[in-house]
Amino acid sequence: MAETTQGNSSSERIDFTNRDFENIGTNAFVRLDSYEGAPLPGFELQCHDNDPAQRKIAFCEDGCDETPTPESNGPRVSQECANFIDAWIRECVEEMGCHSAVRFCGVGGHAKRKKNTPDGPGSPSRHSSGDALDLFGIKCRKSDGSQLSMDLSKQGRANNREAYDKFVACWRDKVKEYEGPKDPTCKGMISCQGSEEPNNHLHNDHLHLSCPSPRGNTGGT
Amino acid sequence: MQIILLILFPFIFTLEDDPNGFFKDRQWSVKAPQGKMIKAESKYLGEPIQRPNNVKAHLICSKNNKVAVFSKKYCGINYMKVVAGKLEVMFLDYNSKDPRGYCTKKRIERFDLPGCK
Repeated sequence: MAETTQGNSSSERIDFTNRDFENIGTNAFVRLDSYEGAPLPGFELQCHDNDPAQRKIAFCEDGCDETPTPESNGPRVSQECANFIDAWIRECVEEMGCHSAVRFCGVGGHAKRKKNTPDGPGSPSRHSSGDALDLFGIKCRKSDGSQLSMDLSKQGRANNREAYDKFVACWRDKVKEYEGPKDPTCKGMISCQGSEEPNNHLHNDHLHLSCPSPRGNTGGT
Repeated sequence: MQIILLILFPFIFTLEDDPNGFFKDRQWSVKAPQGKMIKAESKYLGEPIQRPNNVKAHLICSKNNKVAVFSKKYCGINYMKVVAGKLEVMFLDYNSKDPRGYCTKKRIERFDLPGCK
């Protein structure tokens, strides 16, 4: 990663020499508008792998059928979420058998929204502070060189049940470990509970992956 | 007074949750050829964050006969109208580069109109 990366404008140019991620790439340091008051510091994750030798894990807004280019967008997440992803995503994708060229596709990150409830807008979504990702698919190479391409819809998850369960269990354990006594059951965190709860039909076409939030927002979506 | 308003303006602006009115249930009625109408109903689901709305558009052939034109999940819709025999829809796609992550990327799609059976 470059020692100095440009944000939205030259006034946001910031040095984050000490924030060198090991497993994920970043395009830019950004400020995320949120319900938290002051804009939150965050990162735009990298989609296009500029240096495959580094084996960075990519996050792309485009679908899995599209080939990433240097202009391809990556999602934006909070600084804390980027740190958490960097710390644990490698271990969890390896649990599902992915060893190289790992790319999450159709990814959505930060969006300043409130949860949709039957009574109208609810509390802020975890996406509103950049502490969650909605994922539609993953592509990678397994250790034997074969390719794994998994659609993260309900049907796609069923077709790759073992790999999916290992990934979600790994992520759940990491989040639980981080949350500790504060939230031992990961209440409200869909990626902790699995994505096929009886009343969770809104997550049949994607996987919601929550980061633990240092801001105390325990909402799932 | 002007100075106070200038200071408050950025905060007033950021208080708006849904400035475009995209994150709620919506309906459209569009005039179609031969005196017919297209009715579209959109439900705000809130999920996934990139495409939180689900719209279903139908050509109304008669009181008891409607034919599907298109159905899809999306982020925002700016307008829909019939142009040269097709239903033209301007979608506004999720834009992570927007500081609020709103639907601001313009894209036009055109859908063939079905015939009435």
